[in-house]
Amino acid sequence: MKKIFQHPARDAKPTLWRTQGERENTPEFAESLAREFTAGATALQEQDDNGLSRRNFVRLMGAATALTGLGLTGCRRPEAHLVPFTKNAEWTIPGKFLYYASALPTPVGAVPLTITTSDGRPTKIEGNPLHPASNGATDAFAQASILDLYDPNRSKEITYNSATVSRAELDAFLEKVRAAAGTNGGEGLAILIGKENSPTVERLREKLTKQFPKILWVQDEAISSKESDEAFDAVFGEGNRPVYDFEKADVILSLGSDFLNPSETGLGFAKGFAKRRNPEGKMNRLYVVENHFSLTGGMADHRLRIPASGIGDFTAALAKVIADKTGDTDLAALASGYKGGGRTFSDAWIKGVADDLLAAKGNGIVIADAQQPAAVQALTLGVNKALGNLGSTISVAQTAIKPLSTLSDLSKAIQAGSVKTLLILGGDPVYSASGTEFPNSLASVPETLHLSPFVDETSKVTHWHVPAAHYLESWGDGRSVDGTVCSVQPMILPLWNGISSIEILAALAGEKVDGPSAVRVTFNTYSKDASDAGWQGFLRNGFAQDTAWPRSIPVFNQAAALPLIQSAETAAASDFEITFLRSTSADDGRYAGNSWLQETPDFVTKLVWDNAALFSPADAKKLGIQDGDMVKLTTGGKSVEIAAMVAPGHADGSISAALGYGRRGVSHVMENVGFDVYPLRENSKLCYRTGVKVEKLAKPAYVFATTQEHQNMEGRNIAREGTLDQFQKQPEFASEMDGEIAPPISIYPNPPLTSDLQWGLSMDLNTCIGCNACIVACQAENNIPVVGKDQVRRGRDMAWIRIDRWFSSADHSEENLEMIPMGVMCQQCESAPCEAVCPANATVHSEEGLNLMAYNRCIGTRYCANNCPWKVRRFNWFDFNERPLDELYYGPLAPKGMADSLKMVKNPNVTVRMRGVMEKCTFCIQRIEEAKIARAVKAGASDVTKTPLPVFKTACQQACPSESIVFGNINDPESAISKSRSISRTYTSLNYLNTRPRVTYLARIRNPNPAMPGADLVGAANRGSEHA
Amino acid sequence: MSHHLSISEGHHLPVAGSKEEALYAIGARFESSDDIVKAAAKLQKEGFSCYESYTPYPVHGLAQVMRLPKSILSFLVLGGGISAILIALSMELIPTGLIYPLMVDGKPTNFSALPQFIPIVVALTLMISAVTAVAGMILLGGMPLFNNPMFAWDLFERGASRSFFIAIEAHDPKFTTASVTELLHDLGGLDVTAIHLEASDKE
Amino acid sequence: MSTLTTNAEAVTETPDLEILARPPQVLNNRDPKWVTGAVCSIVEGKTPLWWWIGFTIAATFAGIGGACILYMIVTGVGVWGSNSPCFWAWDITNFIFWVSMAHAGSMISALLFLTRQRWSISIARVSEAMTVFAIMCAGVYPAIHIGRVWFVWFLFPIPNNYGMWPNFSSPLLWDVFAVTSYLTVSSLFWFAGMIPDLSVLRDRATTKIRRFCYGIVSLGWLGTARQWRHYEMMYVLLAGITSVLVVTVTTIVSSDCATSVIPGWHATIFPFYFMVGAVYSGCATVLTLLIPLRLAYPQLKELITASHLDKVCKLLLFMGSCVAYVYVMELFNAWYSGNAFERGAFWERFNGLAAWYPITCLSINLIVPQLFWFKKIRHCLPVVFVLAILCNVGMWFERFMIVTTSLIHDFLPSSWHIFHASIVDILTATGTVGIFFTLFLLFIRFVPVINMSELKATLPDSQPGHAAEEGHGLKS
Repeated sequence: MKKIFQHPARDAKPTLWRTQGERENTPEFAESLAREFTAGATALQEQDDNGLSRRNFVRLMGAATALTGLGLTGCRRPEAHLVPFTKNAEWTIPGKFLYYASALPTPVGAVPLTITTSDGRPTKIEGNPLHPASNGATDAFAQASILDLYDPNRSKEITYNSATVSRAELDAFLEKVRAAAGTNGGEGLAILIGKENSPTVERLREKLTKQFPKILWVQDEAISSKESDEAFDAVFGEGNRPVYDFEKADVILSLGSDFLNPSETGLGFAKGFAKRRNPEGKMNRLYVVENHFSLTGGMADHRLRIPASGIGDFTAALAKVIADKTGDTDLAALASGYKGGGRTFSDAWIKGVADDLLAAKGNGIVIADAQQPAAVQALTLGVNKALGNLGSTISVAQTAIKPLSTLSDLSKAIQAGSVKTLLILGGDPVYSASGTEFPNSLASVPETLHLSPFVDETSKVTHWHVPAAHYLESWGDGRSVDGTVCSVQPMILPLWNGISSIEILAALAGEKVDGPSAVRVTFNTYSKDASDAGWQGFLRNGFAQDTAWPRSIPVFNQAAALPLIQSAETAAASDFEITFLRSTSADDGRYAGNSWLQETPDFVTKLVWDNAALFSPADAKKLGIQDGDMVKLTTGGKSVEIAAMVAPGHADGSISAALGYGRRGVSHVMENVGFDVYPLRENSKLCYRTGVKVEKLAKPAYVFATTQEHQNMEGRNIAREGTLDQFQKQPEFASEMDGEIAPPISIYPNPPLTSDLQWGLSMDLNTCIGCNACIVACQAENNIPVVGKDQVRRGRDMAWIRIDRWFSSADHSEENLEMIPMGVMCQQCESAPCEAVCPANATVHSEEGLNLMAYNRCIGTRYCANNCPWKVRRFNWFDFNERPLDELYYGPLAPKGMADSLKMVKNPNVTVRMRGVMEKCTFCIQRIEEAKIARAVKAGASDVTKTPLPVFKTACQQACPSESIVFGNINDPESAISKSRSISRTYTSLNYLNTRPRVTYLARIRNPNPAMPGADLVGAANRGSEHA
Repeated sequence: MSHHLSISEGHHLPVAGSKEEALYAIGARFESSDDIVKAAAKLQKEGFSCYESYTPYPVHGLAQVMRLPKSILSFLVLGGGISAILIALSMELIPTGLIYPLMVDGKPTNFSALPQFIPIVVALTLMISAVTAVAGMILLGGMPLFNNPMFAWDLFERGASRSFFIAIEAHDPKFTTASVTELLHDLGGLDVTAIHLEASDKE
Repeated sequence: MSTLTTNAEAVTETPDLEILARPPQVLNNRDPKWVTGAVCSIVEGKTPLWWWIGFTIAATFAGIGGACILYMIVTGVGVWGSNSPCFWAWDITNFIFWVSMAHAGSMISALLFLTRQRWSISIARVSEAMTVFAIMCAGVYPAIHIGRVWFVWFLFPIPNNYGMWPNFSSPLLWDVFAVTSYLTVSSLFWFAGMIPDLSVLRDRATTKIRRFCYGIVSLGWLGTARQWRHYEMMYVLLAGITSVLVVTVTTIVSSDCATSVIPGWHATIFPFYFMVGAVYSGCATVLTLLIPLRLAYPQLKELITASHLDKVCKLLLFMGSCVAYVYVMELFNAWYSGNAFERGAFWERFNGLAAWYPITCLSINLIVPQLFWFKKIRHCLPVVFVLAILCNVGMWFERFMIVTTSLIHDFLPSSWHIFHASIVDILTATGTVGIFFTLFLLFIRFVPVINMSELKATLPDSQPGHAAEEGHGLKS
């Protein structure tokens, strides 16, 4: 553990001193100390107060503008901006972090970020709390994206017909394409771009379209929102997109939508939902209709398992009931207009939901999965209209999004021979559209170029491959969910000659790019303050003020909605459908090479390094399938072999499989990881496909690696939950579940913890959605190694914070299954069992109530881990950092040392642990110490304990989208943690052991609707369990 | 080399060791434990002080008739044990409580947490006492001693494991070759032999 | 002649009480000369072929075990099967198994000596040897099972620049001291008991080399009355000390489990639990060693008589019954505690991921020792031999059950994970068995396997006025 010198309050005449100044305690000395430890680097919130990063950034930009145009060749990166550390710029303090604002571009919308850089290399990613649409949180993908930057498997060279070529040759090629387009107006030129939400890309696209009107613009995402976009365009008018305000919603019905998953719908939803999830205030109620257990389904008060292809039928049925009750003829027309698969559902269930939604008229939200057919989307909006939610909980944002041609259009064009040159900027269509005809048709294009971070499936068949620049090493911009434009700025020179799509488009448009120039030009078009100051503000804050999409009251276009609904083709009823899920680790495959994410367990199955075909227990029994059995799924002439897994709570007649796995020959991290189900998909729009035939193969069982093998609490009150009225009747119910335990007495007089800082952490199970953001954040912050599938299978995963996912069912049925995620990290027991048993005193207690690990004292007896009731200690069974994961057993024969680029991602404030030592969570002690140093500096000669500590967060807390982790000083009655601990739902897990943990939990509260079937079984996870 | 001679031949005793060297003792062999106990009792009565009895196993009562005091070993071991306790306690308590105080498991590190220090005290006490006992036995028994004039008497050498011997040493005030030889014969000692020191150059 | 007189009084006071004849210590009332010859011939005779074969096999296993340990040290503890939550498995299982086995040796040679059980004399030396070698095998594990072996010195109170000191509240540290002292004391006890016999070998030595070596190790022992006087005192003291160790060492080792919070470990019954199990497995081992030894050297049959083995069997039976009692009490306590986790731990132990460990363990340890109720079985040595080996298998499974099944079913079911042994685990374990037998075979070849001097002192006519009839050879 890094030894951090801290400065306690100095007496008037210290007994020990380093300088005469310190001895005399002169103000000069205090000042020199202040210069040594510049304050507040810890705290993002502090930026405006101490102005460190801002001032530095202005200087940086000053230097930048001064140096631009010194003949920097081509449209290359701004070297001038990024050399300072080699020149040892005076404002950097070695070992101190600098923070820059940036954003992660995603198809959903740019995620506003703050990037931590140390000595010129980005090391950590946080959300940008200044951004209006962000609460400073991130999702797991954003946290892990920094590893992609340093991925040694990234492609490093421009290749033409797989021969390395120079940058000049690429420029020449682009020039040639531009010249050709100039002659024929872009005839035969097709450009395939992803959904980047980047104003600059938009601007360049329009510019190019003006120059060469005949360019074929194609937009494709592996998981696209075409269906919903179509519906929204039709029903609300082109470009209008609904904006849901979950903070206003009392009753929410999700039709297969996993809106709480931050990666699905942007971060805002979880936050807004969580605000209304507090039983202390007016608590909302959540109904979920879905086929597989999603995060949202886990939060549900009432959950109905139906196949995804039946969502339409359900919506129609619901619409009918509501129409009858309200006498809304429009809705009745829409409902009867929908001719679905004619599935029927529990009337009681539908009626219950309908009544509840009607009771909350105007304060409800009905939201459908973006990958449901347009007809279902329209129907859903119709229901919302009938419920009067439009305009109250749902408004529309008037975006400038225009529909472009789709991949199928492109395929047709290619087959028609009208495409001579195809530039694929981003994405990996050959892999993700393998179910369509595109891959085959691609071959017939004379000139193809692919821009991508890896030499992947597509790059292998295109003539040109261009290494794509990571967003942390290139200039750009992107609109966040609410439309606010975020700046994307480079933190470091491109490690391996990466090029951004903006650079290529600019080159085609004949625009010279000097670093940010292209982005700056765009900025001037939308920004209110186009001055340099405004620009610098844009870069500093990471977003441009007041650039969000204008909001308005949605106008429901019945005339357009009805035909859309009637046009819905009937989903042919079949015994099985397959639904394609966004992988919680690989997204659509773009993160498949990210070992952090691969080792982060799936939300629900807890599967790592794999995906699986999820079957409901009933179906599994029917088909005689057990975990790991290989099955062959066939539909539409395509078939895939995949290992099956039995998923409690899954809908019968439905199979779910995550996308983004089974990539071959791209990066060795992706090898032998999961199964590719893209071939089963006919397009990127729908989340399901019906008519699947399942065939159990007589192959040896496939071995899965999961981080949690036992799902049942075995009647132990570990995760505790209750219903709303139980809570109102008996606010202390959670702690009362301890039952009769001996009074917490100790035969020893425990030595008092003397520090004024006593750290504590509280986790609210009621708002924790189990989204893994904390896990990856912890991994990034604390240099936690990846161990690989084999080691995870052996129970040797290293995650310091894990999310236990409990399934509980009050009547032990599959029907009323509940999911409770529970984050577990070191509980920092005041009387820690692990400390007593360590013979070497390698784990001891701090004055601040922290349970410390002294790595260099640890000899690895592993007794501490044995004696830890929560099993949160992690042991370095091998040299996970230094040896290749597939050669761990070779010992000294395996090559030693990690890739240089991977060394750069390590947090310099945290020791990289060696083989044979124990490690565990210490509440991000490096952040604590940094804050204490800052405080000591601020205090100077005055009493340090009287000085307020700069605001800081632990990594997990900072990343949590639903703000369910609270950390702070429990000695300070005003602190958030003290308030949180005083909530009546607070309980301590395994309280009877009297280890006095510093981590407390807030019990989960469910809000069942008594009118619903099975309402008495909701919120009863602990019913009938033994005490203790 | 010693060969048996009849008493009548008087003082020409068989000789062990080298005749040139000084006489160390006169030894005799006895058949049974009874005989040697009786012999020892007689010698004691005669007032011999410098004689030693050699037996293949502890012969009960021999020590008593030879008026040997009780072994003091037990007191040495007691001392060893007590000092061990003190060593152990100071080794544990002084560093843990005073020199390197650490917070472990919310337990105090002083005497109030004594129980946790006991097991090691016990272990060390037993170990050090045992070492004292063995070391004491060896030293008090005049060991290690790798040469002894008796070794020159090969009869003793070969018979030590089976028979019983008594050797009266030459520096005993009442020692005269004649009287001692006589006495040993009277006591029923066999193979009475004059044991001389060995020449330093011989082994 | 105190013992003699006291006995005389005893007899005169109760004349009607007839003194029961003891079974002979040595059959065919052999004389000391014969005893000496019989025992020494084993050492002095030509090395038999079976010895070479056995030695080669044992040494090979030992070598393989050593190689595995080396591999583990340079590669990482991960080469074992241990995982989270089962951070300890075969390493500590074997440690407990061996260190426990040692106890029977000390008990036979020390406790039975103090209680004047003359029958224990002829088997004491072998038992002590077993003790010493078993502790050596046990000592292997605490040293190597740690993650960073090269820092093992952190365990010892050595002033260092970390400003840190070992943690004396850690049972593991207690182990270090307990095992060290146990090894020291039992080796001393063993060696001290051997000095007179070694001097015999010295005196009988025919070659210069042997004479020199045995001369050195016998420290120039002469057997003078003075030496015997201190020797007897030391022997009594050591016996006392060792008897205390018999109790304390298992107690301390058991606190590895007992002081933890893990359900299935956290129980006050553990010291007794380990103690009885220890002597139980030790007796089994003694039988396993003696029966073939008598076969190899028939002359020993007259010294290590059937009745001696019979007595060991009875001891085994008694201890086995204690073990059975503990099993029952353990389950009862778990149920009676009314604690969900305690109950859960034991429920899972028999129904969970690894139910077959406890089932193997119980089915052996509850049934096999009870067979020794039958004289027929006790006297049929081949059967005894097999059963004794079974008992040790059962005991190994008991240790394994205690260590692993408690760990793999601890508080949070989310962290439950089955344990699978790796090949390295297995070869290391067989390696220690190899070490044990290698040492034992060397012992047979170079050291008298029976305490001659003590035995001779108890022969008829060995003491003036047959004082030997009184209790033990050495005065106690």
